[in-house]
Amino acid sequence: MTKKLAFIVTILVLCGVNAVHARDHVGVGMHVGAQHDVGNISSDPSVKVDPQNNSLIGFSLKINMGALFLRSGVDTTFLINQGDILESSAEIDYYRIHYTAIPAFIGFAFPIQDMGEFYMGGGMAYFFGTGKIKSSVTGKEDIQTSAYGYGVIAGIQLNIISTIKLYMEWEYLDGRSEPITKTQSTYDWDNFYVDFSGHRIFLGIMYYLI
Amino acid sequence: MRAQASIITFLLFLFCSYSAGAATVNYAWGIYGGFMPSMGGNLNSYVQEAFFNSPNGIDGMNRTRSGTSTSTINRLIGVTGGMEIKGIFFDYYFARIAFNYSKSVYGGSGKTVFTPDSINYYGLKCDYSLIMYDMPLTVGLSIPFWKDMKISLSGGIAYAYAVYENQFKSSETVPPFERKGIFKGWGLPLVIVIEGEYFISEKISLSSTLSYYRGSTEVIKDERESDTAGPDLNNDAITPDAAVDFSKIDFTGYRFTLGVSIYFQSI
Repeated sequence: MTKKLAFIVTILVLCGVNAVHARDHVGVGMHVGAQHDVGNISSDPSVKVDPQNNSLIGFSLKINMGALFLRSGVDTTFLINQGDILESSAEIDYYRIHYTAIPAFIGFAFPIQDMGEFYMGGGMAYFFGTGKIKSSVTGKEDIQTSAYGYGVIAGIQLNIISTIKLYMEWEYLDGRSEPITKTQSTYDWDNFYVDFSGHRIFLGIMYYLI
Repeated sequence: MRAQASIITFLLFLFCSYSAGAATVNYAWGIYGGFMPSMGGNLNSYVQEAFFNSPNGIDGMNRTRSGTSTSTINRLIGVTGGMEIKGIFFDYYFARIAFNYSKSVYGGSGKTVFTPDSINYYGLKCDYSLIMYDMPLTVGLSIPFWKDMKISLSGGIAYAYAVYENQFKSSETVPPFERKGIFKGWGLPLVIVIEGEYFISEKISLSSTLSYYRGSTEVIKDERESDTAGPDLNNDAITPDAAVDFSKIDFTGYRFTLGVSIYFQSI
């Protein structure tokens, strides 16, 4: 049984290798990064905010197929500072949002001589967010939600040795959850949603398996 | 209309005169298609703020309430496609003019809840759509790497014309109402374009482009004036309410496209 399984896995791996172009690579990477204005509360014109900032750790998977590339992975965030509402008609005091994102992008990669490559693409991400919000309406409340986002990626990769590369990426994703809690005392409805939109910068190391 | 014609003529003149003065020029034309996340931004308008309690357009319109059927109204995602003419002068200097058509294809539809008096709550069906035509002219640098690829970075301005429509409908109020807003206008957004080209032959390249537009129209008055029947939403004893809307059309946002370019001369 084990031999059969090993044989099937070997065949699948070989098929996967053959499916990509002779010059192509499959890389796995690890990166750190950051996002400013997590929750994108500053986009609400009725709110004055000291925005939340998060650091970020993630793993990436990149498949190059000739000029085409696929980029996926998983990113998770950690709080640097919470978002504080300075003056607001939304009646929120502060908020802390953490999330895990699973992005998937497709695009073109352009080799820059033998130094590395530049790439850009478009795609989407699934976000799963948790956090805490304090408002004068509901007090402190734990929140949990998910959403899909859509956006673009651009990155540059620098060869360190043939199988290890340094990469820096910029990602912009736009996505919001459905309303999950109430932050307006005047109205009897849930209005507060988690906005995952924003720019993210990553710096990481990628190891090419193939 | 005369102003629009003047701008288009000026852009074409600028492009042609720049091309004519160059000694070493290679031209290319191309076609491409792609997508635009968050097309039109939050689509804010006066009616949404004044009558439906949302200061930030489509984002603030999303609400849920026990006993009312609601669904998330997502921002618009658009598809975009177009054709371009590029000139590369002295190997490194780059000018590009393009014509793009973009249309919202996803999002912008759902159900929410509103209240005219914080006592009575009504379901509200919302629909948003946007169509955009634009013609960007950008100049910049094109950097060749080996013989099979180029990266170009350029900036400039676009002439953009758009038609934004919104619709708010409730069958729960007495009487029921339906409000449609149609906004048509133009603007001159700033444009930054980064384009990578991968040559699959001496004259044909596959291209990938990331563009950022920033700008909007002036505030435009809703052209639909016949949708006046309905309730007194703000209890001021004067109807119709929410019949006339005002909005800017926001061109700000990113676009990602993939395409093909054909060069007149071998690179």
